Amino acid sequence: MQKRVGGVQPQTSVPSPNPGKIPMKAMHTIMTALTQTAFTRSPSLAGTARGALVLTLAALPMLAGCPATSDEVRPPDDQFFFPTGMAIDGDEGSLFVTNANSDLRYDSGSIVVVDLERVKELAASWLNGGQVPAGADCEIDSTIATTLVCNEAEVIVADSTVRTGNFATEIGVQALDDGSARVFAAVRGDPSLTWLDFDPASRELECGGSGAMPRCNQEHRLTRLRDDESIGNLPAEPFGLYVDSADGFVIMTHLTQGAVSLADAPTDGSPPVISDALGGVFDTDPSTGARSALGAAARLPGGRVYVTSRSEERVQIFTVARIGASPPALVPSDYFFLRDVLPSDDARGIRFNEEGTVAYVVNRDPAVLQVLDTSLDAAGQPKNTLKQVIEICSNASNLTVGDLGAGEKVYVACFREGQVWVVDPIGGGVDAIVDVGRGPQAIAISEEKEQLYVTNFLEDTVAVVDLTLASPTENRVVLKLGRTRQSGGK
Amino acid sequence: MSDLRYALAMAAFTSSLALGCGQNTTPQALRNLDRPSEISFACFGDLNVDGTAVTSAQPLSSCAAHLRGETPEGQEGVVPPDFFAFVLQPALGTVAVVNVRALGIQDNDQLTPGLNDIPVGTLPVGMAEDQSGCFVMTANSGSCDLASIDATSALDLARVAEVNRVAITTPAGDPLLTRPRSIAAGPQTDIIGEICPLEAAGMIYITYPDCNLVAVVEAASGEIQSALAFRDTGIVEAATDADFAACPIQCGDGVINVAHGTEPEIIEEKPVALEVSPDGGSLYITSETSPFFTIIELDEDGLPTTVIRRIRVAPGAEGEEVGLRNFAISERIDMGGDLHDSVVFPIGEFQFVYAIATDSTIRVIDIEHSQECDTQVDPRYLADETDVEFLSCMPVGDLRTPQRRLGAAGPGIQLPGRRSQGRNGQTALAMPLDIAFSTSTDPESPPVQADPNSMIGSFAFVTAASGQVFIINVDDDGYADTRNSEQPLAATLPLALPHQLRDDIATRGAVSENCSSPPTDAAGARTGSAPSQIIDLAAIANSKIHEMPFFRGQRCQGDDGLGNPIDTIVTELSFAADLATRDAAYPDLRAVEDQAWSIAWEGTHSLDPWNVAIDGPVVRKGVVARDGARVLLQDAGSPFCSLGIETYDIVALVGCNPLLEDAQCGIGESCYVHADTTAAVQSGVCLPADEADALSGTCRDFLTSRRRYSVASSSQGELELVERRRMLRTTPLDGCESATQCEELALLEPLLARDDHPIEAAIPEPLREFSWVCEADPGRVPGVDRCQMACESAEDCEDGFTCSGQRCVEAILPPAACIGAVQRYQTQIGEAFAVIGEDDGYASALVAAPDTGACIRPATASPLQVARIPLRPEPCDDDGDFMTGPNPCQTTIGHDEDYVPYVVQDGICITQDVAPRARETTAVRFANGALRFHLVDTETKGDLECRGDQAGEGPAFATPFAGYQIIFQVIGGFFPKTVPSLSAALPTRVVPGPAGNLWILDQGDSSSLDHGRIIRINPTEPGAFDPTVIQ
Repeated sequence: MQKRVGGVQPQTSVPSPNPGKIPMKAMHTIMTALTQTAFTRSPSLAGTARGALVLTLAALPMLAGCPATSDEVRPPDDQFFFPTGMAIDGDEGSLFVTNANSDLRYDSGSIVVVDLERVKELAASWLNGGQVPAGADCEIDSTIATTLVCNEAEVIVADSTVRTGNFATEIGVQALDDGSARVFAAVRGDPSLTWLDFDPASRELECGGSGAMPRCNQEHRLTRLRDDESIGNLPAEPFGLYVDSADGFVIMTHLTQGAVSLADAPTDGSPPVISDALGGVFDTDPSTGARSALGAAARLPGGRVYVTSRSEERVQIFTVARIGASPPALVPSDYFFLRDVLPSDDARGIRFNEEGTVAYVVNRDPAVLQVLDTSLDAAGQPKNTLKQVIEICSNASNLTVGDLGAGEKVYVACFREGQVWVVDPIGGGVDAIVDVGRGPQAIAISEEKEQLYVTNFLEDTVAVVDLTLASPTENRVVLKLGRTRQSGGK
Repeated sequence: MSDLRYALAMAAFTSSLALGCGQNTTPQALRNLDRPSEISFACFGDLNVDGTAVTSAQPLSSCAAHLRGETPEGQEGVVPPDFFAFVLQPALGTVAVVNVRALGIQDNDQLTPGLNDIPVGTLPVGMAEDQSGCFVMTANSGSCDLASIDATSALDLARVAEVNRVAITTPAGDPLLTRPRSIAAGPQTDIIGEICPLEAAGMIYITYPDCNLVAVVEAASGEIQSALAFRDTGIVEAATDADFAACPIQCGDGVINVAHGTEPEIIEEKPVALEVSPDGGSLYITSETSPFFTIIELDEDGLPTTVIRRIRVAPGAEGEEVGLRNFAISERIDMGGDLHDSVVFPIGEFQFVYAIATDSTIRVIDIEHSQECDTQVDPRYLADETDVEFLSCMPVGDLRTPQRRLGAAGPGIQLPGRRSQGRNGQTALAMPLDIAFSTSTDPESPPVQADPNSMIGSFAFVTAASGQVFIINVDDDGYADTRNSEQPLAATLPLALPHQLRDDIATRGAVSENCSSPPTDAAGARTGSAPSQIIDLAAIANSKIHEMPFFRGQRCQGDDGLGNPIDTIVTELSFAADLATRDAAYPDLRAVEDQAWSIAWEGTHSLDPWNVAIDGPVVRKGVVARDGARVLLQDAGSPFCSLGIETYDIVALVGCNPLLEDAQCGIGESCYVHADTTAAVQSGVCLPADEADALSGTCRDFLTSRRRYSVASSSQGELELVERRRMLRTTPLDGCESATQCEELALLEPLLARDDHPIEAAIPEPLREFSWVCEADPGRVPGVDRCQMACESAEDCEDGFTCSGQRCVEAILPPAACIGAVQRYQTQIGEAFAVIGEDDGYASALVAAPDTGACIRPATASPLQVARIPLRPEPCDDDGDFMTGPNPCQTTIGHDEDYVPYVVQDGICITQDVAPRARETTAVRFANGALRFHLVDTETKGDLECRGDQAGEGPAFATPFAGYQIIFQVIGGFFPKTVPSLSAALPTRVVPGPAGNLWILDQGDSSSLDHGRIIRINPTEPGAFDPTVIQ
């Protein structure tokens, strides 16, 4: 039974860690994050996570005795460090990347702005000239001659980086009425829905802080329901995100709660507010005890938001109700089951095509991409039936969809393999398998720039894949932003 | 030599296991296969070449001959060669080799630890053997070339596999760098005893969907000899240099500064699958974006001629064009003929194509007559059809071909999907993946009649995304070809017709002996036990249940074998009903599924439990809004047409359960129960917590009422609600005449719940006095006046009702202030029975009108797509043909029952012995896709003197009350035969192999220990099919 989460005792939020001191609550958070993160299914990451934990535990006494200065633990403003989420603004000129700070070497995570025009310029120069662009801090990859590796500072917009809580995951962009944009990030460490305003002209991110690389202030880190202490806090482990520009709301999923929350996000620039949350949306997996809500995407037009779970084979559909002046409410609507290809109880990312007639769902158990017909039947309801199934890599997570002129393709990030699989959803085949780096996590596409961007969580880079049709470098990494972090750190 | 190879193969196969011996570590499970997608076979072993013994690959016919016990000419004294399989693994870009005899995977590099496969290129997508049988060709989509594997070197463990990469060039000599999709080869030579050529021989055929071409390529050189272009005009013609030049460059070595290719055109037709006929005379091609199946005649060199046939398949269920994917071609089949009857000569040879369409059905094409066959014809129309030739392929769209059964998604074969997934009576479909034919003839052992495990004839094996492998009867020589009207259950059309799923239940023709149930689970469709009635003793007395609508009864008589007579009443859905009745009750076995059914008076539109998604949640959430004087229920999920909500149906705002406190309310809301609420109302209403007390006055009438409304209009996202009045249950069905009559009838209503005989009953003094009027009810179907409770204030109404417009109503239209929260609601059928199957759901035919969104029943809806039974439907046609007449319909019918007669003495009813009775009574006949039955006693005039005399003299009224329900379980429904015990995750390919076996490639991860498996089955062992797993 779904239960409203209002009325839950307020949780003590994790205080900003003082340099050199790691409060017990933060220690709990560290332990939790390292052992319960969605990525721990990957043995390599588990090893990395365990390694990080050992390092952290070992470092505690040293930290207690040798407090670091704030500058030493401040994250860099021009680097990727455990990049997780990624989103492109409406003009396709800027790419927002969340840095999760998953090994807690710094005092905060961050969001950086990548200049996609500069990325395109570097790639074009490289592809057309075949040489390192003059003046760029880049070199040809030592093992892959077709890939140019550049210092990410070449593309990160200076003075735009802001600091957030740790363990940010997904990020989404909302178009505002005045032409600017608002960025939302799910931050597990707080837990919060962090929001920032973005000026496309200056490429500045603003979230209430001040000074160089400001930290987002409390007003921009939404942790309470309806901003009311008496009602309760946002459910823990915010993970997936869907941001709606047309109707002005954000839906967030919660990784370990099976909960879904809703934020009222007006497009007139008014501050957003978390207005509703539903717990127990999904059932517990009897074999693991996990209860999870994970991916979220909207079928447009129509405003139905589909939410997947990795603990149950059900896909739950939500709508948003606005009654008078009351805060908007989450309304559970229909649901269906991913049962046409064995019970599929580990669904991950979900995306729709532009018309809303097809949904793509990444499943880990079995490891398939399910293509669902979500066109409307004669009664006006999405059919939600299986129309194609394609075997994919074992640890797929996120996906994106694009049509560069040869029909719709689905790009799936395969974390353990370090690959992106390019899938033809109609033919049911795999067009290409692209080696992108270690631990690909988030994936975003710019059809206008004919490029695909992939965060490599385990090596602190962003891979840029050329999608130009009929190009010899189609479906190849032509640019890698950031120097690969070796295991154990840079 | 062959034995030594066997030993070596076993050694190689087990070597990795041996590595673990003597160690204490837990051995890792070896994932020897990774997403296998294609399989080809080769023959390898000793060969006598002009007197010299060699060890070599050779044509498959050599191994096949040896397997039959024959020795090919010139091969006397040779140790028989063995079959091997090459298995394609696209993700790895390798080919694995399987020893068919040892059923193990061969290590192709014994100097490297583990089982090593043969690398062939990037993303190989197809594989085929060359004409000589000495080479296996792969088409690589990642490198846009071919790989030619020298089979001899690959299968000889003493050698390293030799693989030549072959670039594909156009007739103009330019490289073709477009991604291939599939590959096929012509037939192999039958000449045994020749040395293998140095290069691959013959032609291979490759599809290029991104270029809309099919190319004929010389296997040795990779040079395109001829090509066919699939134009968007539907024409197929020889490709030109311009066609090749327009092909996109999709492969490269990533070298910078290579000129980009041209932008590809938007391609309409994408040829994706192809096959060459066994005689090499025809090339068959499907396109995933067009409905055409293309047949091209080849000349003696294997090159396309200009003789091209294109057979178009029909659109899908909603009129959309479909594409075609994988397909299989049958042998020439002698259709018809049953080894048990006197028909000796079959009716003729047919050759069929089974092609998987993009609507997840399997389209059947009759190659000889260039026509698609309709496999979904409703068997109700074929009862008298005896023309077996016509039944072998009923042409789609032909005037002679009757209409399809309810739920047909077009003319193709449908594989049943997971239960509890359909909607509106439509069966969920399992997605077919691949098909292979198998023919089994064994004149020594004639088939056992109607035994699912006795498979003699021609069959198709179809793999599905559900992990199952279904079996389809193409021509079952163990079953009759037409219906037997004298023994209708002995030969059932869904089991007799070609191109139908094979049933897995034996003894379908079993008949009841002495009114008994079948001794085993096997038998025909029937109810599992006597149907149950759910009654409310506050509404109907136990002794008066006979007045409630129920199934028509039929008398069954016999004896128990010991001389004791059996005389019992059964329903027409029962196994013990007579044959004609049973046949009429289940006219289409294919549509009958084992499931529970509910027939509920004013029941909900859905009975879905939490783990089922057919009709949607029983309790939903929406917004109630006021639009001036109108009250609207809005649901952004637009479910109302899909639910089947019609005007005058019922909406109940179910509110919140106060026992759960505020758990069912939103943030800042509380579950408020007004102090004046009576026991008739069990729920509260969610109100803003800080306003609840203030609203208690404004909302009092709303809060204390039942909160049920009638639907005034329905559209997909919105219902208009109106007040629902309290109607007298004993209101005459023909309408009341006056308020006085209503006052009198109101005295009878409480008597229904008392056991009193009418002649003995004293009209009880009512606890409360109510007033009644006789007038039209705006919240119910118009046409007759109804007795309604009148009032001046709420105190004049029963508990749970309130007063509006001087009439007692179940709720007033709520003030806006009272409905500021999201409302939990439930919809119910109005004044009718809801018929819902556990898996069939509520078979609504309503659609949303394109312009207004209003819920309407289209004129093209099947007459069987009905799910409600009103009490007074239109009269039945004289011939009872519900396919043309009204459905449901009203009739008068004979009904058998046992009843307790009484004799009146001195005003007292004296009980007599139970006696049989046959009487004519009013009934409603109902038919849907699966069932056909009669509900009798849908109206009554009651009893006159004693209970059960059915002699009442007043106006006819209806006895059903809210909550009355008939529940029954249907068993013995159609059960498709599948290959058991496979546990396949994603069986993407099924390929006929040597010795008549079928090889299934399971690409999925059936467990955490594997990334793919191969499963070999023997279709001639239809019990268990003898599956063998290679992984």
